[in-house]
Parts: sequence; C-alpha cells; structure tokens
Amino acid sequence: MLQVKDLWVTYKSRRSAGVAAVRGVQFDIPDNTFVGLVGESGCGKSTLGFAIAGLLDPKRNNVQGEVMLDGQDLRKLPSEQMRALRWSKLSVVLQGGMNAFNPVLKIKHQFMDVMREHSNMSKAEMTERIAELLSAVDLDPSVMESYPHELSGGMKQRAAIALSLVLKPRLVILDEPTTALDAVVQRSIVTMLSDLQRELGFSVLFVSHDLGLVLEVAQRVMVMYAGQIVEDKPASMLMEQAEHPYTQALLGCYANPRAEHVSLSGIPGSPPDLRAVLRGCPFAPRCAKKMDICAVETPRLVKREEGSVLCHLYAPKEVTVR
Amino acid sequence: MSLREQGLQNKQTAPGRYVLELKDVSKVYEGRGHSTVAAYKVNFTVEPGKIVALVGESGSGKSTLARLITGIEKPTEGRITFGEWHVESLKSRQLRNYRKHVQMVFQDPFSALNPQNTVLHSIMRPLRRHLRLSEAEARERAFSIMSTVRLTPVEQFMNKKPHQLSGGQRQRLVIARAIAPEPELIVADEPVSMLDVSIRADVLNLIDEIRRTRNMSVIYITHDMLSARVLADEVIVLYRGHIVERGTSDEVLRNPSHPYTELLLESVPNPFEPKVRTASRAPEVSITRKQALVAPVKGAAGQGCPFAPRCPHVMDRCRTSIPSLTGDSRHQTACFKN
Ligand SMILES: Nc1ncnc2c1ncn2[C@@H]1O[C@H](COP(=O)(O)OP(=O)(O)OP(=O)(O)O)[C@@H](O)[C@H]1O
Ligand SMILES: Nc1ncnc2c1ncn2[C@@H]1O[C@H](COP(=O)(O)OP(=O)(O)OP(=O)(O)O)[C@@H](O)[C@H]1O
Ligand SMILES: [Mg+2]
Ligand SMILES: [Mg+2]
Repeated sequence: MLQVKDLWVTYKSRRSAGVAAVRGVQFDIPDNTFVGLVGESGCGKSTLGFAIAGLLDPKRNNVQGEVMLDGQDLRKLPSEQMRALRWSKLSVVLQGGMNAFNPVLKIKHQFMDVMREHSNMSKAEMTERIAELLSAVDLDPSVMESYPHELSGGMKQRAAIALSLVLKPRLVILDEPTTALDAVVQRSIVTMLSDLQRELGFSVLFVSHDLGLVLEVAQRVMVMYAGQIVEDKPASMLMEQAEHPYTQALLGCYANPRAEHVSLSGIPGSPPDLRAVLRGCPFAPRCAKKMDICAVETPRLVKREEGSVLCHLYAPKEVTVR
Repeated sequence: MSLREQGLQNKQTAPGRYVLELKDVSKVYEGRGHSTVAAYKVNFTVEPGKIVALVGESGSGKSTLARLITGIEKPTEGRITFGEWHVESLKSRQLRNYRKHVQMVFQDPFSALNPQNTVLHSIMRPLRRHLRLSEAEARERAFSIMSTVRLTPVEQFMNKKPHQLSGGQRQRLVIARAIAPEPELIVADEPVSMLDVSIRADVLNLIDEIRRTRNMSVIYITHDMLSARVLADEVIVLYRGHIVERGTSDEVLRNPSHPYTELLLESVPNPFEPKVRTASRAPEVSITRKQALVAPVKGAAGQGCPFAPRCPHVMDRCRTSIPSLTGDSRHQTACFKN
C-alpha cells in the first residue's frame, strides 16, 4: 500500500523562483485499488508520478515529504535499493513512453534486459512471458521481433504498458498511457488492466486528461489543480456528487458524444503561475462560486466519509486539520 | 523575382489555393520475412480551407499517410499532388520549398522538439524564416500565439526548454510552432491527445480560426471522435490501411454504417452513460479480443475485407474480395452488407 504525506516538489531555477509543481499532496492507495488522477495540463500530475517513483534528480529539484510503499519510505532509500524495487515492486510508464524504448534494440531484448536483472528465467520462459504480455495488450507476439521505429505510436504505447507488467509489480503508475490508442483498443487495454489488477491484487495510479475514461475504469478519482489534490472521491460518486467547483467545471466541459449537437467548451481563465507562493485558493480567480475568503485564506482539506475536498465552501462543517 | 519571393508574394495575396490529392496511394513496409501494408489504394482530396479528420484503429496507417503527404516518406505506389507539387517525386531542394507551405505536427511531442531551443526560439524561427518577419514582429506574433495556446504567463514560458515543460505544454508548443507561419496545409497527427477538454477547445478553435481567415487546409488525425465531429468537415475512417468509410463528419459519426466505425463509436468512453465496473462488461470485450488479436497487417493484402476476421456480419464473399467504397459524396462505405 502506498501512502503519500505532505509531498512538495519544486523545480529549482537559477534565474527566477522555482516552480512548485506539487504542493502539499496527501493520499493513500490501498492494495488492490485502481486510482485515476486527472487535472488540467501542467497541474503537476507527471511531477507527482516522478516523485513517487523517485525519478527526480535531487540536485535540480527540491522534494519534501514522505512516500511510503508497504511501510518503507522510498524517499530515504539509497538509489541502489530504489533501482532494485523499480519494475519488481513499482513500475512506471512515463508520459511519452512511446519513445522510452531504445531505438537500436528489438522490443524483445528490452523486455529481456529487465527480466534478466530481476529474475533467472530461461530464454524460452522469457520469450513465452513476452508473448503472453504482448497478446494481453492486443499486439501480435511477432511484434517482439520488431524495432521500435517499425511500430505505430499506439503499438509502442501498448508495448510500454506490457513492459511495466513484466515483473508483476505491486504498484503501477501509468502516465497518459492511452493517448495514441483508438477507443476500441483503449477499452480492451483498460479492461485487461483492471481485470488483471483485481486478479493479482496490485494497485494502479492512472494519470489521464480524460475524465470520461477515468470514470469508467477507476474505482477512485483524484482531481488535481495547481499542484494540489482538490478532490478525492469514489468514481461512482463523482459524476453526480462532485463538490469542488473545479471538478464541477471540468465535468461541465464534457459533451455527450451521442448528443445531437456537440460543441467544445473550456473553463475560462488560466491556471496560476506555479512559481508564486499560494495565497488563498488557487482556483479562486476562475471559480464560479468564489467567496471573499477564497482570495485570502488557503482552504484546508475537508474529510468526507469517502475521500476529501479542498474548498472553503465546505469548511464550516466537519473540518479536520491534518 | 526569385522563386522564393514569388512564393512569398503568392502566399500573402492568395493563401490556400492548393488542392491536396491522393491517388491510389499504397505504402508497403518490407520487413524480415513479412511485409506490412500500411496504406492500401488510398484516394482522397482536401480542398483549400477544409478540415479532413483521419480516424481509425491504432496501427491503421494514419501516421504513415501523414509522412507520405509531408514528403518524409515516399509511397510504394500512387501519386500525391498538392497544387503543382508532385510530392512523391520531390528532390530535396524542392522538398524544402514545399515544407514552407506544409507543416507537420508530429504525434509524439517528446521527440519532435530540439532540446536546446527555447519555447520562444522554436516559435519565432519559422516566422522569421518562412514569413520573413522582423525580429520585433516575430516576437509579437509569437507572444500572441503563446497566449492562445495558453503557454502563459508568456514571460515564464518563453525561456523554457522542452524538458521543462509538461507533456501537454510540449504538445501546445509543437502546435504553436506549426501554425505560426500560417502554412497552406497543416498535417496534425494527434495534436491534442494530451490536452484536457478545456485547453483542447482553445487549441482546436485556434486551428479553426486560422483555416477560416487564411483558408488553410487541415488533415486532423485523431482518436477523439467528439473533436472530429466538431472540427472536421469530412471524416475518413481507416482500418488496416484501407479507407472503410468516409463522408461529412456529421453523417459518418452520427450514422456510421461500417461495422468497424460502429464498434469504434460504441467504444468511446461516455460518462453520461456510465458502464458499471463489473464483470458484466468483460464477456463482451473478451469476445472481441479473442476474435481480434490485432495482428500486424501481414502477407498478401487484397484477399478480402480487412475487417472480415472480426466482423459480426461477415459473409463468404467478405473473405475473398475487397469491397469498394459505394454511396454518394456525403457518405461512402466499403462494406458488402450495404
Ligand atoms: N518503418 C516501418 N517499418 C515497418 N513497419 C512500419 C514502419 N512504420 C510503420 N509501420 C507499420 O505500419 C502500420 C501503420 O503504422 P502507422 O504508424 O501509420 O499507424 P497509425 O495509424 O499512425 O497508428 P497509431 O494510431 O497507433 O499511431 C503499423 O502496422 C506499423 O507497424
Ligand atoms: N524541469 C522543469 N523545470 C521547471 N518547470 C517544470 C519542469 N518540469 C515541469 N515543469 C513545470 O511544472 C508544472 C507541472 O508539470 P507536470 O509535467 O507535472 O504537469 P502535468 O500535470 O503532467 O501536465 P500534462 O497533463 O500537460 O502532462 C508545469 O507547469 C511545468 O511547466
Ligand atoms: Mg504530464
Ligand atoms: Mg500514429
């Protein structure tokens, strides 16, 4: 199980104030849970994923807080041990994972490199496992003999998902893993993922800009805005019972694809400059339900029976300060 | 007057004069022991100022067509013309001239950007080189485009290098760079795939605005059916290198008639018709999966309908001959059931 406590990430800068891309984030992912993470482009989703996976260079970034995986604080692990955990306990498919493959190696060798480092399977066993994984992501097993440039964008993306599962990790972080997939393949892959996730009992942190997809596949959804998690709810409740005005605005942008007339609409305004120190609620300038207090006081996390919301609207009720 | 000046002058007086035409375009990749037919006898035209969406399966040849149209690769067979250019036979110097009029937005924004160049430099360069704007003019134009694609505050983003941008911000930079010089044709390969609905709307509106004001033609490759319906005039559905359906976007996406297009539209996640996350969904999907391990398009093309192996309506003749597109200009389908 993953516990993230008061996590802060700042990209340092020589010339100006650093970019504080993750600001005091706090959440748990229990075993056997599929969690979606959504939010506007640039709000800090990938940074959060990097920080959890220990992929940020401490010289260039300032990371604070705790990332506990099964009781171990990953942030305190020496890099050697962290490397040993990667793939086997925690694996990540980076955004743009389609170019994470080494261009001069066949797909199968990239799988085998990972497998060799962490297990002592024979070559035949490895080949069998690779074929099995490739079929699971709707690829023909012969794809293992291809070089990355011979595959389409979506084929590489699927191969990257397959690779992340190769050692049956406990936690898989997938950052925008299906941007190059058509709806049919996407559905098949996310169904496979959630079936496999329940079968093997691992957990998934699924980062996506597509709230519709996340609502369908995740058990829980976290909504991020300007470096903070502003709402955390069971997926089944979000559509009807979203509380944070940002979540509501986001849901309001979705058009029913089957509707007679469709149009694209956005949320007016833009997110705050992440170099700045937060004063008040970062969403306030764009918020339809803004109150006076929102501009001056930073909201506190309000716990709900299931999940939480970060908004002054709900503060007078059962406030918990953590 | 040099050719270049002529080109520029024409560009300023009469933008969007050219028609793009693909005639029987095929592309076969020869591999070890097998070949892949990434495009099979593809025909279509794009009139000036029109937006044509290419949608379809992952691996169906969309990016391949984009590379052929922009001259990055040559077709195995067939002809591609854009105005007077015969794209398939351009030599490298002519190709450079051609590329002033035709911009490509690559599918993968992570590899499309030079890591050394700042945001401002990337956007200003084509403005200086292709439109010959002065430093100050180019800067001003670049700022205005940056704010439209919401790379704001501008002074925060202008000096950033690609690695300092989020995925969606890179994608916005790639688009900004391609539309800045106001090309005659833009081939945009999944340009907004990492953008949330909110920013996506702004970017697509910008593309729409430029095509209206500058008569720019657009090939919009996407997996997002909703934006295809809103933005595109025409939609072309590809399946394993074949056009299986085409027509006006409203027609194709509201009354799909090819079984693949139907399947595609049914699969779009729809928060308004929530599907319960239970086993009840699994059987339906596992049937499709069993029928249809998406094999690369191997071996001899042209034996039957490419969709036959997974089609619920398959008939004998579907396995032996390829259906051709039939219907009127508003809606055509390549399927024997019609
Ligand atoms: N250089 C190459 N060598 C061999 N095969 C290739 C090459 N480039 C593409 N292919 C094959 O051609 C087919 C079409 O690829 P293409 O990239 O055009 O698909 P796409 O429609 O863009 O897919 P996606 O939506 O996943 O990006 C795929 O089967 C791919 O494996
Ligand atoms: N190396 C870096 N140096 C400075 N700023 C950075 C760096 N990397 C990211 N940022 C900034 O931090 C913020 C968060 O970036 P992040 O990549 O986490 O966003 P994201 O939510 O994943 O967005 P997207 O959906 O577009 O991928 C962005 O505003 C980005 O510009
Ligand atoms: Mg990201
Ligand atoms: Mg592609």
